[in-house]
Amino acid sequence: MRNRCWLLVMCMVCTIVLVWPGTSFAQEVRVLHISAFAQDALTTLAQASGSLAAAGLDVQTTIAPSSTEQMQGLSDGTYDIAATAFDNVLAWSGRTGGATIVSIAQTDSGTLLPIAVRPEISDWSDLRGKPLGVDAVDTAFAVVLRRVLRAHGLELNTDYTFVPFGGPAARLAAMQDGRAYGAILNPPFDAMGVAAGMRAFGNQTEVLPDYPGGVLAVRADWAEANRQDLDAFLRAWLQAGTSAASDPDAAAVMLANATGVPLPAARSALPVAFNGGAIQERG
Amino acid sequence: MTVLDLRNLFGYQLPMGPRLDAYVDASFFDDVSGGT
Repeated sequence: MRNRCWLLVMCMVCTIVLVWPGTSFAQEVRVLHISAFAQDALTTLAQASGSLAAAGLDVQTTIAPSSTEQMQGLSDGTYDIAATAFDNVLAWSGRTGGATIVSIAQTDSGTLLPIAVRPEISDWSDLRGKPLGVDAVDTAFAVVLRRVLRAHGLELNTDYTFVPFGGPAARLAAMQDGRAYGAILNPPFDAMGVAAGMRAFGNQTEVLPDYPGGVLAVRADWAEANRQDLDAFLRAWLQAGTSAASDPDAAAVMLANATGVPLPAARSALPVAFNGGAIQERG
Repeated sequence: MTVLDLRNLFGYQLPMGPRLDAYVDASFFDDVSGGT
């Protein structure tokens, strides 16, 4: 009888401890919502290696259909983090009184933005009077293309026009049927363009060698309110980047296993150049 | 963060002004970069 009473008391104590507010034996998992144009390799590696889970974090990635949807979603709180092009941060931060958006890390310092032109274009001056294809006229890679064309003596709406066709597949299609004479065709569409008869016409590095390219962007007020989670995410992400840079073959195997993509595709999804994730100070 | 005149670079007025540091918050990176 005495033993039964003791057992009953112990059960009651355990119950009180388990249900007492603030008492938890299972670590709460916070989910970060990420918007990206393709699954971010380093985030996937941080997830696969268990370092995000060890920090009490999980991520849910939504593939963005357009930069407009992505940046509006980041502004209104649908997404916590956007893996995006730096151009989009410039274009959307504080736009029409909207949220302040800031870049916190560089996803790939080897980002190339290849420029392609139709086969009849053999010199930059041949683009005079011609339409060029962009995602949107004032966002995405349009600012980079505009800057490169300016370096070659061509001014928007004086020497050429921009026509918004959308993503790289739509831009390549517009070039093929003559609605556009040039565009930035980011990989793998640059190679597809060459295969379709377009000409590779260099890239942004001749004019903007330190342009940030791909970045992680956040809403400034959300980041400040969630600094602990963001720091934990960034720590795991940087760890994945450093490991991938030191042993890309092992990282590719882990990425292939985690995503089910073929090994060569996993290898090409890794950053071309991961310089520690810091945004280049010279811009 | 070095100041970069993006207005001159891109040739039009940007929403938050021409300074690169208006669009970058390095403090989060600074928080964690020593730990990797």
